[in-house]
Amino acid sequence: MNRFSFALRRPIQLIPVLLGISVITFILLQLTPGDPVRLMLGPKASQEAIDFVRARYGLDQPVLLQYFYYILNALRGDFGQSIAFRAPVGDVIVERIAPTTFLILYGLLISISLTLVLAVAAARNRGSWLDHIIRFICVAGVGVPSYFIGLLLIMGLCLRLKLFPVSGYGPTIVNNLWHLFLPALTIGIAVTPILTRNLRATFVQQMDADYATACRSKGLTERYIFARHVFWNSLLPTVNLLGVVVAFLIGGTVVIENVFNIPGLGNLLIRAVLTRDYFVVQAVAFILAVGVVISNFVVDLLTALLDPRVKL
Amino acid sequence: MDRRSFLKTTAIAAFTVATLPASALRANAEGKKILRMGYGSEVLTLDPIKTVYGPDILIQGMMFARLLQANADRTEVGPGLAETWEISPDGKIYTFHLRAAKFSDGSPITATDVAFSWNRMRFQKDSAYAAPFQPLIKIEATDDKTVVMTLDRQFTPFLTLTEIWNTGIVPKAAVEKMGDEAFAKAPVTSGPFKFAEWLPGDRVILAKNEHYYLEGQPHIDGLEFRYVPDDNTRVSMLQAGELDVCLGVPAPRMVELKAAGFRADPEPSSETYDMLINHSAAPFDNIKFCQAVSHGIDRQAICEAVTLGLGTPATSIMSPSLDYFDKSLPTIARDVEKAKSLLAESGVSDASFELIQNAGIADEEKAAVLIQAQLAEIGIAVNIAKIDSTQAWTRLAEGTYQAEMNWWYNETRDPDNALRWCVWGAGDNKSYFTRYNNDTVNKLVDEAAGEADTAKRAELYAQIQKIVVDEVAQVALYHPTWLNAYAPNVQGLILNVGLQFSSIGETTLG
Amino acid sequence: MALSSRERRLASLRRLPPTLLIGGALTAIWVAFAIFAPFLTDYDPIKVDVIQALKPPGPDHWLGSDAIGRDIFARIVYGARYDLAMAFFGVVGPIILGTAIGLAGGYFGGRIDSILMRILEVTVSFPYFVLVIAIVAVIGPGLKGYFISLTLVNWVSYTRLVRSQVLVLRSADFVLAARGMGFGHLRIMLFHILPNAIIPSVVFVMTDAVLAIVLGSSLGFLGLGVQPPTPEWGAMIAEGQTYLTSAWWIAIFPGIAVCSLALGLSLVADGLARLLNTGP
Repeated sequence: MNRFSFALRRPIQLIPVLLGISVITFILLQLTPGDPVRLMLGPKASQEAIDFVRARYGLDQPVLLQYFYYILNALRGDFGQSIAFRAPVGDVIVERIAPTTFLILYGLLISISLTLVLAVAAARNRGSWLDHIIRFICVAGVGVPSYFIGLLLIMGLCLRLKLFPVSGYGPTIVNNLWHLFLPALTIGIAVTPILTRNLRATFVQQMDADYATACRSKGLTERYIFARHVFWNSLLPTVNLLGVVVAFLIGGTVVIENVFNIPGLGNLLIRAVLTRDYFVVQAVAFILAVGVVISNFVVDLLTALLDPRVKL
Repeated sequence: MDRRSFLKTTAIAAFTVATLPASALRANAEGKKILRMGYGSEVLTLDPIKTVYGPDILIQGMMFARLLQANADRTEVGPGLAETWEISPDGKIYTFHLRAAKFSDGSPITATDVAFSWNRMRFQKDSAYAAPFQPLIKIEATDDKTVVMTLDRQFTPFLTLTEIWNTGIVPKAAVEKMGDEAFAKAPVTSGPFKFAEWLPGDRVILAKNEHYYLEGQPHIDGLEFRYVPDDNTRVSMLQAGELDVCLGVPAPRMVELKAAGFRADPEPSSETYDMLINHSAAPFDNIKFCQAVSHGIDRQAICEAVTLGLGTPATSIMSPSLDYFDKSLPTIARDVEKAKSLLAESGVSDASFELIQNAGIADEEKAAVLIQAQLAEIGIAVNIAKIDSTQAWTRLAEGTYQAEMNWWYNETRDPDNALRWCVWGAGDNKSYFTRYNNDTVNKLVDEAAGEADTAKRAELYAQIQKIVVDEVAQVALYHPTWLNAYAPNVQGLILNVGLQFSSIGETTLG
Repeated sequence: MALSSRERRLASLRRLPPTLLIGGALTAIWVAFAIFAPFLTDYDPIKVDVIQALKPPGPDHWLGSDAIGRDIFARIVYGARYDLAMAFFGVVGPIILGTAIGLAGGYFGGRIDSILMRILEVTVSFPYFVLVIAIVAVIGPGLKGYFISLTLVNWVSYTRLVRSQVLVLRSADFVLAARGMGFGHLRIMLFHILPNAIIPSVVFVMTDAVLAIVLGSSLGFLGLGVQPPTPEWGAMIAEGQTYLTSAWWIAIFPGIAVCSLALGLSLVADGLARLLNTGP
């Protein structure tokens, strides 16, 4: 078997995961009290109107039948109707995927750049004041709630200094690099400490490894050893950690989307859960799960590339 | 490919993918006068008859013309699409004569369209807000320009109802061709603005309706109605110049905005903030207990703490902005001794109740905590249950609650709609789910609606207000104002008691 | 020359990583605040006093008062009880459940393991907020729902940590020896493997506690956390957000409180990791 053969196996493994998620979501939503139709039609609606609409969304059917139909339709690519938006779920969701994806990738870009700079700086200057400061920042940074960072960033950079727009999602790429900078930075501030700590530790471990000592004895420069060997040999654990972080970010951006007013999936998900918009919750949960699986896949791919010993 | 070049390529590829979704360029509105409004809830539908919800009501008011049109502060309703109208002597038949007007697609607005819109609103099964129109039994177009409506009784508030949002006129042809669902997403309109684009979760964009019946209006080229859920982000956006109008400013920020040169004056609203109580379940099935609670609450303190002086403590169940508000009603002052003795008289042994509060609404939480503290002093224990609003609504409707923090507003200045809804026990919604049901009140509400004489109506409404305050139909707490802030260049725009920007056509952006 | 016992104790303290000492001290201060809250302030954290509303920090209210006149300092020190409880109970459930699953999966391997790993994958991919809102709605509002939902989600980390250790340990000599002596699976798992497999989890617990606080206070921030009028820092920050420009103290001080407790726990985590030599 080729070491990339997991690329074929992954999609198959996806099936039980997605099925599991749909079952759990469905059960949870059934258990959650509250009638979405009542909310949709408002306090002044007649019982007749409520029953009529319930029937139209199939909510008057037995639970098991509802689930059965849901799966049957989903297989045909029909994810049902949003009750709150009175529109097909696909239409409601499709516009929200881009902002969240962009935000996460942008946030990761910032996190990874910062992590590389900080971890290399700390490891190459081990024991110096720079190392100590970076390590302290990493320890301290883990516990700062992102909503608090966001709040402070808005107060300082948007309102006082007027450097950035407060909110939103712009129409163009450049515009978005600009609009989403603060939210992405907030992600960066939350994620960088975790990654940097891990990467610096691996760097240090590798620098003390026998092969590095051997290189030194051959007269190679510290710089060469680091750039040529230590650096590449150290990435693996951090890449794996990155996978965990991304899984957490997917679906965890809701707080940031809330503070910075980004029309993303997180915002939609919270809203849909709160209004019991059943099919939207199902579909968003589904998409987020696919996102996690894709990110795991990318991590596996990177792992295989970085470490030929790993068989998947 | 070695590891490094692979990583490099991957990075570049990832970046390209990351930026792709945003690459769809959108129309640049340079040089055009676009009014940008920010609101805390999201537009859900643009179909007037399916609408019950703040943002939808607001935006549709600017998209669909109605038979009658209100002036800026809604003190009067005058000619709209209907230029003139007659009412039969018995008050049962209304005949509206339409002016020449066009929909946003250029097709003429005929009596058939009006009758279609009204029949839809009144009789289509999923029409959300047909309740106020109960006396209306028939709508027909008698010719191209004439619509005749038949009521089953004399019903004085009817004319003011012909202005509210869900009577907005929609084109029969377009609705039938597109179907309800598609129409609700991209409607053809009859008001000052037409639909341009909808970015779900973000904004609805409207453009000037070139065919609007009032020539030269609107003065602005377009309007962006943006969804900004976080109150403070919305204010920040106004301050940063990203919005021209911020709807729903938290009370503590009004002073600051005014100082910074924004037009931030409280605007009269028809809202009542209240505690709904379930008259059909213990302990609120005991009227003495209800009265003990009512007298144990310090409305002045709650109003001050929540609105920072920008509201008025409740004396009646309905807002002072409504017609026939009884100014002579005394302040319901807090009286701890009286409350204690009422509580003793009530004989309620377990003086406690659960107070539901909708999660995420800061003002409700403040008021609930104050009520809890105030009632503790008279010996009533309040457990606050912060739950999400879907669950709260469901429990309210099903009657499986004791008390809930709530609020309501009225579309018209005529109080019939409000009272019919919140104290008229014969209705579908059981007096706004409080299960308050007093035959005398029910009769008085009907009588007042059928009375044409203003003085007599005033007397009837005074009687109703007195009874429902005495019997604590609901624990009215205070009447806030609309708190909005406008950039200095926005002129001639106010939000009126009916949650409408009725003067949007005349609004200018300096 | 013999060292006195006091000197010896000092010397052993000095050998501890400084981050552990500083972090421990910071955490201990918050624990002390929580325990001795009534001695630190005369104010009742839930007592409203509208006349005293929105007072800036001063001699009456050291850290100011909030919109309905509650003392911020009192709310912060009493609030430490809830936020510490979130940190503590927020990890107890996950560590028990996660360790049990990790032990079972790693020890037995085979079909049991692969089923457990599928469940793990589902959990990892499941959006947390759906779970927490649903659970809170089902069992009623308050911290209980938070703890249950956190347990159902966060066990994953411990399972991963424990399982990877167990996979190595199950073929270690002492385990094989124990099995040879005819010990039962349960006994081997609990008394032989677990003590060795749990060390990385012990280090992770502190980091996890920080995440539990951040997550719990985020819920408070989104309006889904503790019941009012409970003083919880995240909820306090949310309440104060509106007043950032007019009464900054309402949000900023609880913000500093969250950050400092989180810092204390992170430092302890860092120190423990160095002490036990497992991580950075």
